[in-house]
Order: sequence, then C-alpha cells, then structure tokens
Amino acid sequence: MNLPSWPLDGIKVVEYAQFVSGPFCGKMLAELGAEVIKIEPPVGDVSRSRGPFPGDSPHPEKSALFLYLNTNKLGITLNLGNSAGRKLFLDLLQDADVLVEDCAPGFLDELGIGYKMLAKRKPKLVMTSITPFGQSGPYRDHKAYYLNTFHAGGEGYCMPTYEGSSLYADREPLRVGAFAGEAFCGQVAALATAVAIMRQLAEGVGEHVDISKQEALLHTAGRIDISLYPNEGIIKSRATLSGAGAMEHTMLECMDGSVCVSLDLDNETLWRHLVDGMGWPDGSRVEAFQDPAYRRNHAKEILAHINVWANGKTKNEAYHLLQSFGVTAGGVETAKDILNSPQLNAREYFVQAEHPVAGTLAYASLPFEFSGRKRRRPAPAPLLGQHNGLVFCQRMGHTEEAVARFRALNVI
Amino acid sequence: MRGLVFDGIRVVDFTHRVIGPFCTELLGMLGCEVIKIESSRFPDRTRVQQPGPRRDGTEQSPFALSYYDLISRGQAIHLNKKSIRVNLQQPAGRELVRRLISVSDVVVENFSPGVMERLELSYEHLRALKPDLIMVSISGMGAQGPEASYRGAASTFVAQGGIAHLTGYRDGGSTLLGVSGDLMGGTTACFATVAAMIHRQRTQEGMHVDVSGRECHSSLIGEVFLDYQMNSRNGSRMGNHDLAMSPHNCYRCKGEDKWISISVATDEEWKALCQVMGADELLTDLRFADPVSRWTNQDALDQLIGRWTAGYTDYEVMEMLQRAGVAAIPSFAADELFHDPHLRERGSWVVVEQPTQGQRYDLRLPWRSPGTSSISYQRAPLFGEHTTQVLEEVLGLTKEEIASLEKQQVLI
Repeated sequence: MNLPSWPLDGIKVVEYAQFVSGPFCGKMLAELGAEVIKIEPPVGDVSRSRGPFPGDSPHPEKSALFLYLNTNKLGITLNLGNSAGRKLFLDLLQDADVLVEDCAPGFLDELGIGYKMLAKRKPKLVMTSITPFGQSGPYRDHKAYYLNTFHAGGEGYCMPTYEGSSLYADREPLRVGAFAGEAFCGQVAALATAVAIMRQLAEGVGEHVDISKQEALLHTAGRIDISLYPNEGIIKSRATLSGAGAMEHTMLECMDGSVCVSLDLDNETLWRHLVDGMGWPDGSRVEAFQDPAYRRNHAKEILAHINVWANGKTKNEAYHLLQSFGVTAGGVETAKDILNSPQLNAREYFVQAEHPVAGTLAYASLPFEFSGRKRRRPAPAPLLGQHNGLVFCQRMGHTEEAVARFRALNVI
Repeated sequence: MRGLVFDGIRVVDFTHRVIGPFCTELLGMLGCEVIKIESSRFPDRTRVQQPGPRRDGTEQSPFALSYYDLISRGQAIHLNKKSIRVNLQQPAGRELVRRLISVSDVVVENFSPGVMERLELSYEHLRALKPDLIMVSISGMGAQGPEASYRGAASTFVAQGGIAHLTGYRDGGSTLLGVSGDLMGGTTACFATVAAMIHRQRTQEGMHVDVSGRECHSSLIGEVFLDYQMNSRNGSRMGNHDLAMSPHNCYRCKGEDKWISISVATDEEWKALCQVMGADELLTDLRFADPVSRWTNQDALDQLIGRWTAGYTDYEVMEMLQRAGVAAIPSFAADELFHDPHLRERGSWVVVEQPTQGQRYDLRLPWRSPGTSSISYQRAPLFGEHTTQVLEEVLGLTKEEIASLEKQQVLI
C-alpha cells in the first residue's frame, strides 16, 4: 500500500457551488490531494459567463475566473430541481467524505436533501455550507452579492487605508479589488473543512460546518480594527489614520508606479542604513535624527524626503535599493510584474496547465510549499459535463443510454 | 474535557507581529496548547503598538513596557496562548526551547529566513530532535529564492500580491488593506498547518511548511494572471464598481458617515429597486433600460440612487430593499457590528477578562461547527505569565533549576 504523499490524498469531495467562494474552497482541497467532483447546473457555473475572456469574447470554456478556480476537479452536471437529479446527487454522496455547497439556507432542506437527510444516510459526512450570513440569525435570508458581503465584514468601511486616507473621508468606502474577499471566504471555508476532516479521520464523526461569509471576513481581516470599538471606543474608518505608531506605512511614487514602505522609525540599525543609503539627513541634522522620538515627530519630513528620492527611480530600482537598506518595501505590482517576478519564478509559483479549449496557460499555485514536494501542474478546469461519463457510467453503473435519457430530460 | 480534536497538540510559537501570531491564535482557539516564546530583548511589537488616535483627539498612552499587556492589538490576536520568557541569545535558552520542542508537535515561526538556522533551530536541526515535527515558517517572500531575505509586512504582501493595484477609486491611487493583509495570510498559514497535521495523523510523517505572505494574496486573485496572458492587460481600479453588474456601489445614508452597499444583478432586481425608490420614471429612462446601458451610465445612476438613500438610515435602506429582494447591506462600521442583532444572535462577540480592567470583547473563531462548539476563549497571556508553569509541568524542572536559569538571565 502506498503511503499518501499529499495530506488529502484519497479524500472524496463533492462540490456544489458557484462563482468564487465555494469553488475556491474546493480548489484548495483539490490542491492538497482530495478528489473533487464539481457539480454544475446544466447551464454551467455562473463564473463561466463572467470572464475575463480572451479578446473579451465570451465563451463558457474560456472564462479566466472559471479556469483558475476549478483546476484539479472532475466536472459533472446535475439538475437538483429534478427528482431524478436529486436521486443521482444522493447516490453520489454515498461515496463522498465531504460536501461543499453554497445554496441559500434551507434550500436543500426543502428539496429533501439537506444536512439532516444526508447525515442520516452517511453519518460521517462533513458538509460545509457557505452563505453570506450563515445558517441562522436575522440576516440569514438576506440577499448579498460579493460587494455586500465584503462591506458586511467591516473592512470596507475602513478603506481606503494608508497614510493620507483621511483625504477621502467624504467619499464612499471601498471594496477590495478583483474577488479577493470572496476568495478569502473560500479560504476560511477550506480551513474549517480541513479541521472537520481531521475530526472525521480521528473520530469517524461528521458534522455540518456553517460558514457565514460575513464572519469569515470580520473575524479574521476585521479582527483587530473592529474590536477597537467595544474596547477602546475607536471607530476605525477611512477618515482615521492607520495608526501603527512608530511604523509608518506609506506609498512612494516612482516613475512607473508605486512602492509601499513600512518604516520602523524606532529601529536604530535600520535608520543608520537608510541614512547611509540615501545620504540624508546630512550635516548638522544627522545628530538630531539619531533620537527616535525626534524621528517619530518628524516622520512626515522623513517620508517626504524618501518620496523625493523615489520619484527618480523605477518601482523595481526603489524596491531593491530600499530592501538593501533594510527597509520593508514592496512594489504595487501588476499581473505583469508578478508573472515576471524572479522570486516567484524561482519558487515555481506559476505552474502550467493545458486546457483543451483555452490552451496552455500559467496558473498561480498554492501559496505555500510542503517539504519534499514540488508544486504540481494542475489538471485543467473541466469542460461542462466533461466527466458525466466517468462518474455516471463508469462509477455509478448507469448505461450510456440512461445518461443520454438523463440529458434529454434535463436531469443532468 | 473539551473534546476538541486538537486537544493535546502542543505548539511552540516563535511568531511575532501579526501574520504568525494570528495563525497560532487560530490553532489555540482550535484547542492546541500554544506556548509563545517571548523575550524582553526582542519584544513583540503587537504588545507595544498603539491602536491609533482617538476620534476625540485625546492622546493615547505613551509607549512603555508597562503597557505591554494592555494594548488592543496584542489582546486581539493572542487569545488562548501561554507565554514563557526565554532568552534565545543564551545557549541555555536555546537548549530550553529544544527540550520543549522535543515534547511538542508543531513549531511556528515568522522570522526572516536564516534566523532559525542561526539559532540552530532550523527544520533540519529540529527534525533530528523530533522526526515527526511539523514546522511552519511564514515569511513575506518564502524561505527560498533571490528575494527570500527581503522584509515583508501586511502592506507589502497586499502590494506585491497584486491586490493593491486593483483596489482604489477609479480616479485615485492604489490602496492597501491595512493589517488585514497579515490576518488573511495568517489564516492561510493555519490552513497549511492543519493540512500538515492531517498528513501526520495519517502517515506519522512531519513536514516543513513554507508559507509566503505575498503568494497568499496572489492566490486570491489568480484569474488576473490568466487575464494578462490572454489579453496583455493588468486590470484597473474601479472603486466599488463591477465589470458587469450595475448599480454596484456604496451610497451615503442619513447620519454621520453611514453608507449602504447596493448590488443589482438582474432586471427583476432593478425594477424592484426603482419601485422601492418610488422612481418609476427610471424604468422608462433609456439610460438605464438594460444592463449594458445601466453599466455605461452608472455614474449618473449612482448620483440618483445616492440622492434617495440620503433620506434614510443605512438600516432602513437595508430593510426596505431586502424586503423587495434587492441586495443591500450597510458598509458596517465597528459600532454597528458590535451592536448588530445578527452578530449578537450568532454569538460573534465573546467576552474575555482583561488583565487589569475587567472585561474585553473579542471575535470568536471565524466559523461555526459542532466540532468547535466547545471552544473556550482565554485572554491573551501577560508577558512571561506561564514561564514557571510550563517549565515545571511540561519540562519537569525543579524550583531550583528554574531559579538557576533566572540567575543566568535565561528567563528574560
């Protein structure tokens, strides 16, 4: 018997989720070795129509969002609004260890295939349900898309956030870019699911894991800032400074973009390197600046000077120079910058996958490495219903005629 | 007996600042015994950092070691941990932690790559001591690569991850995410740690887990790297807007700095919104007749909607629109989140005793499940609070041995 090489080898996951959060959770489990069967409605996951697409020409097999979020998954279609579809769903779950789903609370219960029913048939099933506000509470049935869940988490109210963000006190609070918040909810769901899997393996017990996206964001990303209110009476917003004391976070404007720096003004060694590297302050002021309190009181002047220094440099030059002075600095990097990053390429962060329709592309991989294991090329995201034959015929024993009938009757 | 699956797992915690400590806080919440190694030689900044100026302009307490145990930031991310004082500069101090690690399961650290090696506490060193040890190293860039020695912080993870470029007003610069960059990275690091624990549970093998802060953020926006490859473009900031949905923004409400997020995905929701606003004329306005036109003219649309929302509080707008099936959720401020009925019913806020001033409020684990329902929350440890207890109970040292270590300046 071969010892498993990846943590979730042999674990069987069924994913019935769309757009970003649920699929990101499924993707993380797949990356760790789980077999993930993704169930899509016959018309496909909504992310297939989101894009972005090559040339902005919509095509359900070429959506970058779908392609990225659904690597390493087998893809089948099922119509749960149909009783025959629900029967197939139940049969599929008999062989599954984990179900990840994002239906509205109560939806699966009303169809007779909710957690209680599933657990009766398979007590050790781990079911992770991802919804905007969780399975209970006064907002349980509130409608929320990704903009709303992000702002529900409390971080939006605090954005933009950087030195000078008080300039925007009169403007609307902001969401995070792309679908980062939504994907992060999926990350929390993956963590919660992994914890439940550990319990399942240790005790043979299943459970219903309740992910409220609001909580997933608030209890993590909002953890420090929001708890300032009940404990210190502070309501953080974009009108208040990020207030990290002697750590000054700011953006420097370089010739081709911005570099953000996090400057520890208390650190003597760092200060000396910075002075040597920039040749400032000089003359009589050197001594004055040696006092950390003086530096803190003149933080704005220090940052202004570093900014002038940065103006004449590219992002990349400023980044490497500042790091050589011992300053914590990082460019505001674009997709192009990141794809070309020598650091990421040395770590083989981008891995190639060949998709039958979308072609060969480089995909961002897991943000961590396990010793003795290189990052793996993923299997590409499935075509719509690509593995219907494999799952319904080969594994579940239905004939090809039966599957054709299913398709004709909109069961799959 | 708490019955948490992580009971009995001992974590030796070398982390500092935020990303590492939040990872270990999650482990502590899940039931691990987390032993935080601290030294007055290198105080953890989260014990010292100020939360920021108060809204009323009054001064915060000045930095001082005596405020070590009272600062909000530290309190919020060090729940459920023990703290012991060990001077790692002393060989006897390093020997002490080696002994502790030999009877522990997990080591977590977020020093700059190379530090643990210099302390003779690298994975190679420790694996010889405890072959099935799980060691988690968290750094900005990862443990290997040309920039592995570069410094990172929450702001640079988000900037170099690619999220900052995509976040901000359309007509403004990039914005960072504040400390949430650390908190999101710490969550991902915890996921990787639990994965390693599952692996060890199944194979009795340990692992070294190498987590990169910047990669954690890139992995949340993987589709943008595909978009670049498909279309040679980097994406751009768009405030709260979306590439397809409209209206999709935050709108000012009655009261001081109150905002509602509204997101409309379908014609049905658009009609419902117009009806609630009493703005039937919009239904026949050619500028907003279909999704594409609405998107094209969304700036005008935003203005119209903002004029309506300004007459109501954020909660009123949420209630009216939710009743009509429109996704509307406030951009919640901290005070709202603390008093919000949904979060109250979900039990988001937990009370822990504060070291000197009664109680403080913190946010519980980011999800709900039966397997985690018996979690209890303990306040952050005072500096070195458990030194004697841990040395006696875990390492079996006698009072004389401990006194001798104190005299040698090992326990400072």
